[in-house]
Amino acid sequence: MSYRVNTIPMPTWNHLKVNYAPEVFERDINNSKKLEKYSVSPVFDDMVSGAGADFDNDVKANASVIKCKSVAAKSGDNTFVSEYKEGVVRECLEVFEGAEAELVQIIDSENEEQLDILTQVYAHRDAKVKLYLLNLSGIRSDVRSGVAIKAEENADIEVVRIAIGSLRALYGIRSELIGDNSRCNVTTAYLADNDEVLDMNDSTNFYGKETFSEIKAIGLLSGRAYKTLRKTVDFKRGCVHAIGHEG
Amino acid sequence: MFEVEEKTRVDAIDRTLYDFKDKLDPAMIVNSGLTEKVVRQISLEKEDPEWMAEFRFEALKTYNSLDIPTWGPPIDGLDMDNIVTYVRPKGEMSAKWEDVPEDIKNTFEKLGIPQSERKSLAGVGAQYDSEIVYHNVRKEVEAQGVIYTDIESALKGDMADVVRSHFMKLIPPTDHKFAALHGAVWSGGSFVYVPKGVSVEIPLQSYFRLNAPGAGQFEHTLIIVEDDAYLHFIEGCSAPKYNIANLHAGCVEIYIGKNSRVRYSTIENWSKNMYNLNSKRAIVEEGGIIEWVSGSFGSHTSYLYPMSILKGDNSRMEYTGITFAGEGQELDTGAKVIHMGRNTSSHITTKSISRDGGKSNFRSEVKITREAENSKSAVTCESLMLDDQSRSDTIPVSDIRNSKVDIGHEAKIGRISEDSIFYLMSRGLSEDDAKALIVGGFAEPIAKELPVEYAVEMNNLINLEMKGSIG
Repeated sequence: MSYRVNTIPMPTWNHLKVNYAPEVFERDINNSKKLEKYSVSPVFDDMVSGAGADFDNDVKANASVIKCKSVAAKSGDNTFVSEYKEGVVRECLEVFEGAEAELVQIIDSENEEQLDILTQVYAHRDAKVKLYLLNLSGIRSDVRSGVAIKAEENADIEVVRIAIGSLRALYGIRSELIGDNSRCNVTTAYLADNDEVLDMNDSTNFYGKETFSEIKAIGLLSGRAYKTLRKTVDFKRGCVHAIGHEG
Repeated sequence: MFEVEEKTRVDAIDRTLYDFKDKLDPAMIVNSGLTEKVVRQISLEKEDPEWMAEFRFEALKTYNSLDIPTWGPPIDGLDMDNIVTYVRPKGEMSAKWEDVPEDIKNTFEKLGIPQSERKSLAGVGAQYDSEIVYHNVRKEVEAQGVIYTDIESALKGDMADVVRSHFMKLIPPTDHKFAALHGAVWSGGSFVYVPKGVSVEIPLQSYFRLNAPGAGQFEHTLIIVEDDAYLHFIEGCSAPKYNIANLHAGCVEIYIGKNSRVRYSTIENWSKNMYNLNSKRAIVEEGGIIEWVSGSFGSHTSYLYPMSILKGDNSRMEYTGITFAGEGQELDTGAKVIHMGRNTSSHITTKSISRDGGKSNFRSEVKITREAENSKSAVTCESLMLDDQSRSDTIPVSDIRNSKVDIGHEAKIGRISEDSIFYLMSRGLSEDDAKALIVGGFAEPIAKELPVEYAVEMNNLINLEMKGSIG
């Protein structure tokens, strides 16, 4: 089956070529046999990353590395560091009520390596999560990263993404603020040179009352580097007094 | 006992002002559907020059080769097999209202066109279904060398070469499916030529009225303003409501010379069975200015995004638009701008109001080319939703190829604040009046950009549209 990634929720003129990332991917996304090898918390079942449901299903079906972590309040050191080079990876982090956690994800692919990674973060009520995504890969590598976030009441999530590697890097973060007063901020710093291509698709869906999200990016392009940055704040019915910034 | 008639804010507005229907009594009408035979029939009927006949057939081929757009609101209800693309009204075009057939003249009288002409316009063109029935320009304006006529006359008269070298050059039929449709079946519209150094101080207006049920209107407006000149052009349109789909796929092309300024104002009040798939584009030379002022109130579905090409250094574009989407409407509007010259600037300001399940989408495209150093662009979009059934989406896109530019966009979306209503009610206003006042205030910056008569019409339309949400 072929599929696209980084599709924006509300399409615009096709000639702009921003409705999705230009590449079409082919892979078996219905390989349920591999799914039987592991189980994850059902809270992750209906979460969709910014890269899109097809990408997520592809990773779920073909993942060679699966990491699932859960953090309860009053647990010890809640900082996790993961480092990936290549392959298909699914990483899930569930942070329970009132708990705090940090996940540092380092992508360090070398030349000609390819990495697909799906990161899912579920923050229960009053949880605090910091997610650091660092792509420090070599300049010939190919990275696709989808992040799905869901925040319950009063949960607070901070995402910092540093994108300074890869020939071709596709990133998509989607946050669902389902609880009242939940927050999610996404900050991206990028640096691209030569023929590097950066394609980003970040969105926040506001469901809870007085929810807040800010999506911002800053960076430098040089040479023939090319960047497409899509940012969406989508205010759903009932999200009274929600505030969203993108800039 | 007295019977008390319920009073509303819309007492002064009579919907029949736009909804009245004339009996269908055309001089000629083609069969519905879009075929080579229909296109040939239109071309023969209009006595096209050879090149135009060929142009139409090429456009038809293009139309058949292009897909229906997939990115916008659905247009499933529009079946071209059911659309009549040409309806010629009785009578010839005239420069005297008394020569216009009585029923058609009455239509424009009801719409207030002759009255506006006497009061505040330098020239008027009035189109009924597929043809211009009246065209006139004040003698003093004509004496300045200004040409304002129907486009068919220009196509065959002294300006024939000028028309040929400009017609659908800014919006070629290959641009999109409905531009191709327009190229194949266009009929009616206006041609304006303003010579170098001439300032047309009083606006010109073209009014388009579509009366026939199930018909399409495909007028072409071509405006050429030479260097150091000024023009304000107003476009109005309306139609009665039918139970079947009507289509409007007009085309407006504007060429603006060095240091010239053109203001193009539109109040669109098509009936709510209309698919309004219109194209507008301007190209601006050095130091020139294009100002679009646009009010979209009618139609079932609209695709409308005036585009400006800032070709010359120091050229400028301003777009000010308001959209009011009510029950059953999906109005997809916005603006596009391409900065090609250095020190160019664009400013897009829009407001949209949606109520009763109406959908209002704003789209913009700001493209800055590598050459357009020191250019500036600001896009501001504010949306007001009057209930929780309505929807508003804002989709701004910036394509920046130059680092020495200043670009910004801002979007705000919300509902009428209960605090504001409470405050106004505490000052003695009813809830209905408070809401109407807030909506009026929201739209006021746009109304200021319109000539007084049209600002009044816009406010009346807003009050009319508010009727369903009041009480």
